Amino acid sequence: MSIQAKHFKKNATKAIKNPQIQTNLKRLYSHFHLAREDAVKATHNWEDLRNQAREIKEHVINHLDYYLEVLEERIKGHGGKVYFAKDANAANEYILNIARDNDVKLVTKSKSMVSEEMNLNHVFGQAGIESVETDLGEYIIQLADETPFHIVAPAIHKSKEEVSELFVTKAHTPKYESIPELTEAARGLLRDKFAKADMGITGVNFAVAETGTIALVTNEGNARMCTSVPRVHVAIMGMEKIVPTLEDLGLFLKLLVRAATGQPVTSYFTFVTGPKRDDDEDGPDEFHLVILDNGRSKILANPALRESLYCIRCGACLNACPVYRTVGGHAYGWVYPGPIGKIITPMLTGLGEASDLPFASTLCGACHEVCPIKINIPRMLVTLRNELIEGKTYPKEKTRHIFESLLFKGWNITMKTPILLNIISKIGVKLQRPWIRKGKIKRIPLLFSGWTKYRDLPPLSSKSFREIWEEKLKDKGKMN
Amino acid sequence: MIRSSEKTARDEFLLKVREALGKKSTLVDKTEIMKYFSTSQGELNIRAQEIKDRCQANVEQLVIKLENQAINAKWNVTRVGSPQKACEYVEKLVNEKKAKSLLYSHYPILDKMDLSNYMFNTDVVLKGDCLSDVSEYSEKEISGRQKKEEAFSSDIGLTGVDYAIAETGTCVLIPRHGISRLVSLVPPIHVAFVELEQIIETIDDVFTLRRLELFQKGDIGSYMNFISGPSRTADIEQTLTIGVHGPKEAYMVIVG
Repeated sequence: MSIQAKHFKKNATKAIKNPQIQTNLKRLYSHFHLAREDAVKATHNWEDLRNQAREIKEHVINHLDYYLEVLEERIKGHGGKVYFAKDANAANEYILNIARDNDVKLVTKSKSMVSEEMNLNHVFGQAGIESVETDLGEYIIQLADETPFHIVAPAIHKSKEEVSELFVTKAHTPKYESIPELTEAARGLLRDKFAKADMGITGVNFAVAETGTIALVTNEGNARMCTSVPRVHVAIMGMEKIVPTLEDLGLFLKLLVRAATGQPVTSYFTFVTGPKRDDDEDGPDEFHLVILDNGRSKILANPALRESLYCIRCGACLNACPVYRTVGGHAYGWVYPGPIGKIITPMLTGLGEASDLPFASTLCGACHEVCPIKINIPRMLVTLRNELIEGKTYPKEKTRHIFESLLFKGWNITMKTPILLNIISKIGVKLQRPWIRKGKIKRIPLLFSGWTKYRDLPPLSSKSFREIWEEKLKDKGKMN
Repeated sequence: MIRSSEKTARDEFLLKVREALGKKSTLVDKTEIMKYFSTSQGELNIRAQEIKDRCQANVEQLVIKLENQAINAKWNVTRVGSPQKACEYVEKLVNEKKAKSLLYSHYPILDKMDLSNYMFNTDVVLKGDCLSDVSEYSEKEISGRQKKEEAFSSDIGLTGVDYAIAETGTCVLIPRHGISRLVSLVPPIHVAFVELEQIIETIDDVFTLRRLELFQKGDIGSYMNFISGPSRTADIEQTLTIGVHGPKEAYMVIVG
């Protein structure tokens, strides 16, 4: 997937002006976000679960080398193959080779964000292999030739009318009006692909080191199809997705599903442990697990950002975020949108590619509050902002405007010097007058335009708190 | 630092991870690992026994909980008294759905029901999912393909379960010899027969029992599915729609 994060401002503005996207984004709050809240309320030990999960994740990430080797050993023990890919190209090349070795003509794919990092569909297309997304949302955006808008629900920005139009023009179906009809049409189109597919590709929600099992969480059943029908199954995961034992799965599944959609369980949890055994009735003859670094080791090497690798991709931070809910997923310009994307994208693609993202936040902390693993996203955003401007670990990518630097230096001195503060406020009260409309400071031009173009500031009060205190409050205090 | 002239992609990958973690060698802190990765079977035995005792002692409450949660998960739930009654239920469903072909897996409950000796309407075809059920094809690969095609053309899939989870209304199916992955997935209607002793309380219980099995047998098999109702999606306008790729209708029949 090409990186468009540099164009955050332009793309965000476009989304804000698109009424269809705004309507669809509103639903995120009323559906996913509130459903999550209900599910959390119904889980009496939610906080304990979060703490436990965070502790386990921290442990695994701090011993990742060990767990990767255990996972590899267990999968090989069942006759599966494991490939460690340093980047997207290496992973793509490995998967293409498997496809060629097995004379694969048709691939069915279940949802995998990592495969979006790799631009895998495009790679298959170049090699003349048909690769079909089978999650309904992913199928829709594949037809539209777009990228996922949301981690959990990739096509939420599309209205049913747009989907209907896409089905007619790209999949050559009759015109369907209702959502059930459209869903039924997709079922028919994709069934045919499932029955013929030679290779199934899935992501990985969790990989269990102890057993070499991968866990897949779906509602539609497409991951079951991809892991049951084709001769070859390739699962792709970011290297951070490991949990130690089978018994940890209950905890993580509970957190993931509740945080993602508010369901107690999804329709299907599927657990794959290697290829089919000799006397199994069916299942793939070959099983491959591709474990991807693709920049994750850079995150791992930075203790201040390491906890972003605890993420289980539930999407709760997207639904909670006032910025995501206004600008939508495409503005972020790469695979992972929303609060967690503001950390992962700059780290995986390069700070310079996505230098606006860490600043596209109000630091309100809603993401931290809803995260099932308690990832402190706001803290890391501040760290990244600091990196971008001071450039201690990474090359400096942004320079502060000289005026802004001076202003903050001046602010620093003023706040420490009461007399100066008094004088400056008095001057400020006079200077602000031309820009006060309806009791707010609006649109100061030139150097101040960045602060006042899109938001109104409360004007400076003509009297300072000290003066008000002297006049009124002091006596009142005495009376009481 | 670990250095060798010929490093494979794998070794380089792992080396990079170790460097990122600031580790100088492959040595691991065993005590720290054991806190999260314990392999003591004794403790697991005790936990598994506690689960079995708890579930046996509360069967009737668990049945009620299972029924309620299964209804929430959009299963059609019925309870019947015997395998014979379960057969009658199948017949009723076949007539109601005008089903022409039934696919069944070799779970013990289905053997008890003995559907092949049940007098269905003569135009109903009954197929087992086992290689031996399509024995006219001697080549394993051909019979595999045949099985696949039969699954895709069947109207109803009948299975037992390995566990049913009361807390969430979930059926746990473990495909293996005699039990195809496709029976509960490909036909538009899935019927799962649950016996009372298969009902356990929580998802965590299942993982504990399966983990014990891993320690006892050294393998947990290639596949396991947790099924909680029919296939569903909310990918268009976040509107819940039933029946995408998996079964459109899911029936849970509690036998006993």
